[in-house]
Amino acid sequence: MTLTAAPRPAARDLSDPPRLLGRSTPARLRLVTGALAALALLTGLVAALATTQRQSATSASWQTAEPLMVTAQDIDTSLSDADTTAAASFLKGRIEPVALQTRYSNDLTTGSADLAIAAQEAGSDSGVAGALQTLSTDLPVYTSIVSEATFNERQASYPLAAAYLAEANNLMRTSLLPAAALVYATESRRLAEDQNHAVSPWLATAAVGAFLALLILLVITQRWLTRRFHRTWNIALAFATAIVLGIGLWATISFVTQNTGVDNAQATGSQPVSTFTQARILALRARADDELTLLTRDSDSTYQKDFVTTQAALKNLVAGGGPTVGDPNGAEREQLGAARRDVAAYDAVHTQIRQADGSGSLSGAVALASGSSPGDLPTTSTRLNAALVGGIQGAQANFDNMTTAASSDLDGLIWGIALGTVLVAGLIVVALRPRIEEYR
Amino acid sequence: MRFVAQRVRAVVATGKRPALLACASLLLLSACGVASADHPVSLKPVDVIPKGAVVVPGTTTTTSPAGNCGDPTASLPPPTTMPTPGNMPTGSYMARILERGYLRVGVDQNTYLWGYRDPATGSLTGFDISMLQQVAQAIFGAPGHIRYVIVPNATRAQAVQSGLVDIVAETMTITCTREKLVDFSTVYYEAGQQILVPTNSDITGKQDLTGKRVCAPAGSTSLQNLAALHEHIQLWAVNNETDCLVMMEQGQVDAISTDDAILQGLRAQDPNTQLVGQTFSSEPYGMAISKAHPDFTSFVNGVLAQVRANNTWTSIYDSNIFAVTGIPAPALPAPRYR
Repeated sequence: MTLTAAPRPAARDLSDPPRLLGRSTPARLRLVTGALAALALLTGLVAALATTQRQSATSASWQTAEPLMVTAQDIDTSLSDADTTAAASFLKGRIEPVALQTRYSNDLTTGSADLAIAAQEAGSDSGVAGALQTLSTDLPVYTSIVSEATFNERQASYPLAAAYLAEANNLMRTSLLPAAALVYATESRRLAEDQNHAVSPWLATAAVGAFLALLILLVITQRWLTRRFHRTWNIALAFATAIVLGIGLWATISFVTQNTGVDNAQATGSQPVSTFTQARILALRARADDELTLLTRDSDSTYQKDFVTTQAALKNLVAGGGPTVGDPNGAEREQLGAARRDVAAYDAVHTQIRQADGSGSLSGAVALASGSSPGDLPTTSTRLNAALVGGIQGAQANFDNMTTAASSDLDGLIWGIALGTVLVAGLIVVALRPRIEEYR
Repeated sequence: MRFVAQRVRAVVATGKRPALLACASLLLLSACGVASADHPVSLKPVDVIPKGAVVVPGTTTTTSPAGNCGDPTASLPPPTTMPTPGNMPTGSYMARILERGYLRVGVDQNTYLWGYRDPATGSLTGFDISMLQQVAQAIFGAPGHIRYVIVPNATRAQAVQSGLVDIVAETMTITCTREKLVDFSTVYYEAGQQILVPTNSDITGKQDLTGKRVCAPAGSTSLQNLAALHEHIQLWAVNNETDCLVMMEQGQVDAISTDDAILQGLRAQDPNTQLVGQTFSSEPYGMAISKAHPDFTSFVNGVLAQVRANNTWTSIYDSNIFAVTGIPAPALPAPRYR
């Protein structure tokens, strides 16, 4: 910042924007200084807001919404699994296998622990309060009916046992599972809202626009200074311009990568999680349909009717390749392929069971539905379940990795913006004050 | 939040009695989530009933005219000489069954003592099952040539008509309406409608049913008889008679009324119940066979005649029913032929 020439008035130039701002040159200079510094600070504020909003929504999706969704999903799947396991255990005969007993009580433990968490976290949220209330009042009733069934089975394997089991299943399907599905849907929606919030374009666009405007105005000001004061170079302003350009680029790139990260977390994380979870619930329901058909005398064949719609929905879910777009290592596509194969295998054993039952070989049907050979229902169903659980875990890992990465894309940006824009405002003042003082 | 979730799970996982902890967390839940100040206790108690249980409006259950068909229990006479087992007359329906290698029978798997699946052995057992085994034995001369199809009550006649099964034995009352659809064997058990109540009930007979909640299987003659009995009975119809016992144990109905044979099976599943009053209908049980195979109906009647004569009937009754209920065998129903 060295003086190279004495100030002298320049020719009137209407294309010179600062001319329009004030009458005298010093007044104009003061106005330009104030306006540019204010714009720099405003830009900083908007950019900081955009960063905070995006980062907090991103980490909220990861730290609050997603765990709640997982909790809700656990309630849904563990209740479905408990119901299927109870039926499987009855098919095995009077003395329940220990493995199935353990699985049933693990399911209930997980389900009720998750229910307690969900109730705690939901607080006074009216959207899920009713459903959580239904879950917490009906679950003990459900378990008591299953206990009644178990008691009768142990006593003398009465048909009464199957009647109680059917009643428990009916409670599960008409009250508990719909309530669990509602909680799950609500939490999924909340996660999607957080994700949308994290990529909301308005503040970010405004911030990038403000950087751009600041940049343009700085360039114009320098050109004006050059012409007005015949200065070829103002180091402070040049420095300020470089900082604005740097931070502007940093912010823009960060917003774009964070945006992509959150979108990917949705496409290869939370959406496939939801697909695999629904598939898992449907697969468990289909198996319970087959078990209960054999256990109860299915007088209006509702279980088999239900099987048809359930299995169709399941096939539809695992058929789609949509949710795996952008899958980093193709793992989800692989799990989906495995699930498709296992659903086909399940279909085959289902057909065998129905044929055996229809042709009068009830014991053959029961053997297929409860045996432990590779082609039997439990093995096939377990394999399908494992493929779907693998899919859920893979997608959940994708979600976690991508969301934390997206969140860290914004790390440090807020400090950069704060320090940078304050520095820019200071540099503007430093750069223009000597010009103003020249008029004293 | 994530951290809270993991902590709770960790606590539960380290517990030695997961079931107890599950209850503990439910208690916790009711303390913190549900019965909070925001949700004052206005909850209705959870009242769970079996799937398909409905209250039947009395007016719609009027007895449908069964039509006059003479004596529906009169069946075709047995062949003059019974074919020897394993050697059925050429061209007869029994010869076709023999060729197939097994008899296809329609049974119930939830009627205790009559036709039910014993999970301990996985096999079907009961009075009806034993009678059908006699028929199979008479065709093949060896046990085991039988395949069971679980046939719902509502489709018993249809299962025989469509050829899904050769024969149905499923506590099936011979009626004129059903006579029009299928042929019946001679009567193999004489049942009658009665009432089952909890042992502490004040109901002593059908006269006490007024104003009470009474349960019977849907579509049964029992339901029609009850509707005809009193106007002021609240009738519950269920898919399956066992659901009636579930409802009575849950205090949702005061009494169950259907065939005494079935009620004895329910009574055996819950010793805190008893049969009261006299039977107030006649429910002769017959085996249903397609009208397309009169030779088979005759043959089955021949088997039943043998079973009555050689004391097999009594031993089947004793092993299936007396052994559990202690009720001695009733009078052997005499066969009636057309």
